[in-house]
Amino acid sequence: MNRVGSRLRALVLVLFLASSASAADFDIPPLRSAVTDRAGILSKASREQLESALQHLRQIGGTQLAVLTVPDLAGLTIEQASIRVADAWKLGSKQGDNGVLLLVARDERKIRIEVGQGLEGSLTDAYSKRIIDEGITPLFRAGDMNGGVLMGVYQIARITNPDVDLAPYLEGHVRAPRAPNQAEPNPWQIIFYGLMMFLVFSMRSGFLPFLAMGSMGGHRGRGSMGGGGFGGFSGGGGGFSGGGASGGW
Amino acid sequence: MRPSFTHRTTGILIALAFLSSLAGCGVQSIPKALNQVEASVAEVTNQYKRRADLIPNLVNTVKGYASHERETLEAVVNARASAASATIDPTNSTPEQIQQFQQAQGGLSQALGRLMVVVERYPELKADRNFRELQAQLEGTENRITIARQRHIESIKQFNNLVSVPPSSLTNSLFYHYDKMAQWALGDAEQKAVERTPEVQF
Repeated sequence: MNRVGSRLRALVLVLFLASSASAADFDIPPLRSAVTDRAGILSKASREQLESALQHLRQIGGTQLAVLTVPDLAGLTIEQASIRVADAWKLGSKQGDNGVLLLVARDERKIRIEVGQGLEGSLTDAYSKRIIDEGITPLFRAGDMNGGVLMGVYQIARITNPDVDLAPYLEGHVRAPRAPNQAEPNPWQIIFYGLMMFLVFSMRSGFLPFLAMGSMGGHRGRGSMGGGGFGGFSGGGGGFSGGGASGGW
Repeated sequence: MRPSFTHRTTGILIALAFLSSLAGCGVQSIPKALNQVEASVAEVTNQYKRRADLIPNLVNTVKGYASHERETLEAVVNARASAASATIDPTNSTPEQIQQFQQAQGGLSQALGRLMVVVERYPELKADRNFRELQAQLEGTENRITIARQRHIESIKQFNNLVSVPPSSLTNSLFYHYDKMAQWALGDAEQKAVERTPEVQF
């Protein structure tokens, strides 16, 4: 009896060691909402903005875009980590494979956009790379993590769903698309953006609610409506095969 | 009349029970696993082809800025040609075939690696928008190849488990008589490409 007991204990110990060894690996957080900020680099205001924007994008456009930030990659490359998360979360629908993952690794300073099979035709590797290099990286380098992620999400959505405009949700961080016939920018616009940049760099986390309340009352309402269907951001069975691009800052 | 009818029903029921017990023993899962292996090898060759298709455009773009890197460019073109001639028959692949295929693709990976080292010497080329997009596509394709290969290796492992580990191996020896499949391994050339240490020659 005693021998059996000690063997059992040994077995439990072995199992425990085995499980703790694998827990030291890169761990994939559960998909509970559109934004999973494990690295803690986003402000609460940005997270809320992003979540309502991404709910809206999914409801109107069908694309399921999720953001994940992790403190580190536990020795994996960002490509390895990203495909693991994408395979586990199964973003996008089973028929459309229209999921996108934006992954940010804080300590390694790496960014990856993982594109679902159904979106590889529109959000090509080259576009993904351009979004990382020209949209996200400059803001990250300037220390504006919130702005970088918001900009990345905005630009991804503009390519996957040109008919869905996320600008009202991401107010304050994204450049308004310039009309093609507008030869030179309006001086008021320059003042407006200058003011905005000033706000971004002076009170990075505190200014968002203020701006949203001050200028965008109507959109605020729409945003909370988009967030109304909360609780459901689980993946729909979309497949990934490694499309997208990586970068760093 | 009546007894024989119940007799038959019982017979059918027993046959059904027998079949359903087999369902857990590989009758279905072995052919499914085989299909999965065939699909995943097709995906691997598909992604390699995608890479080969990018090369003419890449070579032309590089030529525009670095025309006297003739040797490196020719090595890429030749490696592409030999990679294109090595194919895998998804339904009937032999270990030799796989090795040849991997060697040819690994040769192309190396040639491309050397080209990318050469490119470092041409800042104007690196700034070229067209080149940068091609580079992004090439990186994306390399990543797709890695993933397709991983999935293929995993599907072979699953098939081999089914045909060699009981209870499904018994079903295999009764009905299907499949042999274990040759597993993909990293070839020498490919191992080097994976480690990404192209030799730098000045």
